[in-house]
Amino acid sequence: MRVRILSRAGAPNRGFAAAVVVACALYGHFAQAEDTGTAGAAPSAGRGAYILAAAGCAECHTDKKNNGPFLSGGRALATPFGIFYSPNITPDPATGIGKWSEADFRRAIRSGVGPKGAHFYPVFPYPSFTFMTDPDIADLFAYLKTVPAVTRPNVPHKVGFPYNVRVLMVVWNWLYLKRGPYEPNPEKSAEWNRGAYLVQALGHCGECHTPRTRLGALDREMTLAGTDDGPDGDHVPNLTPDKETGIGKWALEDITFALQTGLTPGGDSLGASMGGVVNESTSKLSPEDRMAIAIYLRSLPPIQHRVSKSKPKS
Amino acid sequence: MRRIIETACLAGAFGVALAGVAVQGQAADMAKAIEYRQNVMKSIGSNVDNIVLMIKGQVPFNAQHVVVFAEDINNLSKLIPDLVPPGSGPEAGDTRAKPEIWQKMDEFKADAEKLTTESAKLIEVAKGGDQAATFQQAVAMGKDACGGCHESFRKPKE
Repeated sequence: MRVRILSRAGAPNRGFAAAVVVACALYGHFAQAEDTGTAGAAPSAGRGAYILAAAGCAECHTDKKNNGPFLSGGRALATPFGIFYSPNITPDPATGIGKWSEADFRRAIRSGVGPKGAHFYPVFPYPSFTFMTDPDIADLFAYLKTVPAVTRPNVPHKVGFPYNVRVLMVVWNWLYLKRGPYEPNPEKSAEWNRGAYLVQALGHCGECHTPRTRLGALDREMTLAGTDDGPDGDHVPNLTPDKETGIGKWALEDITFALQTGLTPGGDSLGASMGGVVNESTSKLSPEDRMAIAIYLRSLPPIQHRVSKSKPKS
Repeated sequence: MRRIIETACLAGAFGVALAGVAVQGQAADMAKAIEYRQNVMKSIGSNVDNIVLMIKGQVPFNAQHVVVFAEDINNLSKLIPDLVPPGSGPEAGDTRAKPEIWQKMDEFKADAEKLTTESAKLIEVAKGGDQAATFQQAVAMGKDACGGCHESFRKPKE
């Protein structure tokens, strides 16, 4: 049964690969890349380190609470579907991804499937990372290969039935997964597209800031409108430009400054999970990238959605 | 006999009433403890905000003012361990203080001390008058000292 599903999935994947190559060529034409925009250049671990920061991989894949080594996994993330433990993504061949090829890595990011065909849970935000471009995926893989290898076996997730039946992810993906890469909007500026890419793909902001449906998919009608049922049970703010319930009163500069320092207008600090995001990710972006994010966020349709404890959970 | 019983009843009723007032008093105390704590935090925040206005270039840089703000932050930071009496957490009312504070009091106090240390550094740097160095230390303080504690011990905004 399982083999049949996979070989059925294998055929469209080849077609997808062709589409991805064409899309990348188009993207290379439109994108404002980080350095010289050379789509087709050799993968660069240096660029990969920047992509790791933008994607915030260390925030989930390093168990900082227990002083776990860099990217060796083991960090617990509590969700309504169970407690998940991040895997080891150092190049250790036994317990990490040392045996993976670049194609394996690309498939994991693009489709949420491991080299042996096991499906990932979307707690690994591949529904956002799928929008990454092929060159960015290649750069990230090149960087991961240079990280110190750590032997640290993965901790099994604490997930109950039916969520522990991984093959059901095939159905979930069929319902919800829209594979990437990101397609630039030719009517918008390069800066806007860069901001869109940083937010939708690398930053995967919506994975926390967008409310989810009952089956755990992102509610695309409420993009970035906040939720009171976020990871670890936290409330997550509304990032749309609504003046009452979102960040409509923030200037562009307030957004970039907050992403850089964690300090908000009024002298407060973001704190909670966003503190880690600032430290590991957004504070390491270039000022231009932070401004691109701010510009993109301000262009979103304002959604009135007050995130509050007293609000009944939908 | 009747008198004794009457007196006993009155004394009992009075005692219960007193206890009720005491319990209510305690609840009122803890609600006020929350207000007290929030006022101190807001004071710290106002000082940080004024420095941030300078960093963003929205008001002119003034090193002497920064010294005043940093000294205020430094003084207020030393009060923080006193602002969390047992019972002044979520059980006492509307507060963003997390129960972790009382479970990890040593870590909480260490975080508070970090603010004291970083603000002291800011005082010295600001006295030197160098704008870039002052801003750099102010941002470091905001990120590490404010951010670190708020990440562990304060609930997100609602």
